[in-house]
Amino acid sequence: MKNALEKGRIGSRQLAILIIFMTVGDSILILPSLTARAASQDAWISAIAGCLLALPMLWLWMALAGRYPQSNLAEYARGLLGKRAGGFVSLYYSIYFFFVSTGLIRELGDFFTIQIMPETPLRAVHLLILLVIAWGLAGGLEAIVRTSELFFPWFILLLLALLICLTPLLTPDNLKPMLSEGVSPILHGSLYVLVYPFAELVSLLMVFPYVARSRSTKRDILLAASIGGLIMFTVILFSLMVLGSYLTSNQVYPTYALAKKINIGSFLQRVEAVVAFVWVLSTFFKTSIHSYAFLLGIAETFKLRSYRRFIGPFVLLQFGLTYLITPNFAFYTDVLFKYWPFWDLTNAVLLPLVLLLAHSASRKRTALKA
Amino acid sequence: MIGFLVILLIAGVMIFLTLPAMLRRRELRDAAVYSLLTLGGIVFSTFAALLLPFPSPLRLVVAAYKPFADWLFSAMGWKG
Repeated sequence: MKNALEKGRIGSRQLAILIIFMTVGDSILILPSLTARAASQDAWISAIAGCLLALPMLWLWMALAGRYPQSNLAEYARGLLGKRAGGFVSLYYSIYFFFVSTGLIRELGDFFTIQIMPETPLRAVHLLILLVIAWGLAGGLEAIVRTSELFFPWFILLLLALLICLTPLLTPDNLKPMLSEGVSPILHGSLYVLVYPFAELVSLLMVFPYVARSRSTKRDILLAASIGGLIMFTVILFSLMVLGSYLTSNQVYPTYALAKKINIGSFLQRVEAVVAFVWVLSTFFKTSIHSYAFLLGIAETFKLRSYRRFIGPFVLLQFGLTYLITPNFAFYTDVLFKYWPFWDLTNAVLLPLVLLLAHSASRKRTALKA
Repeated sequence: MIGFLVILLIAGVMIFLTLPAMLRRRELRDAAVYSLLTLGGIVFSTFAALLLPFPSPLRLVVAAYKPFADWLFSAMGWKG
């Protein structure tokens, strides 16, 4: 089944860059706080555990995508579960992608209005972000991915510069005592590391059929996810070693607070804008792919002729819901801490597992009939 | 009120530029989805523009996962 809605093709290397951007995504700012709140000074162990737990999930997606290399998630959901149930699952995923992108835009908006531009109305920030995303969506998948390729060296360079500048401030004693509360808090912390950087990559199941595959595609995907995981591990470790577990868990944006601490010879200081730049870049690409997955999912579900003509209504809808998604930042953080991880896991693990089982069952049925 | 008028104007221009062409080409399904999304967009954007109170859609996620989350957090002794 060759997909007619998207004509663009991306390479394995481009996909890998996209995965690194999406893994870092919004997590670079919110993850240290969530993991430290759950696992205190052991949050860095949670980061390792979360990255390891993500591997079977990635295998599950690759197994599913490998069985239908020419189809996206919406197409094989319909093919495996039938027109009605499959259509419902496809619509459900589209709504999920929409709300992930809504949440990401809101996070960006809140960050800008809390930390950088407190006088600017939240909705103005949302509108500006949405216009850039709409521009990217109008260009299509290739345009988004090529932009990510263009920004990638800057992203890595700034991130490395930030981490190097922080090394004189590292205090390894902040990691002690280790395992003081047992394994349970570490498991709790690993839930967030599994979910926010990795489980939300499920939107890539809408992108996989447009990747020009080579022998190294699987290796590239795993390598990219590992690099993303390593970045997240380093950011969490540095947050703990510089700020300590108490400050990391109580800061809204610990990585931003981390960058504020940089002071080299009273000359190089106030470099927190670097963090903002890195975060805006990675969140932009994550949001764009989720928005793209939503539009493509809607177009697949309703058998529409093109997804691009729905960008206008999408922006209008997104503008409203980005503001309405949460009454305040505290409610949103609470949802992120307690409920959203399970929604992500349902969509990243449970439903793909159901689809894989449905695939096995349909193969068995075909074999029996034969 | 200006916000509401701007939203109506934008939606009106969008509809004027897209919907008649879809109807001319008899793309009724596309036209229906387009109208539905635009209508939803107008409603939600109006709420946002006029700062009218609206229940957060995330409350649905909370309602769906609260029993399981509460059980898991208490069973594992996780900080809530």
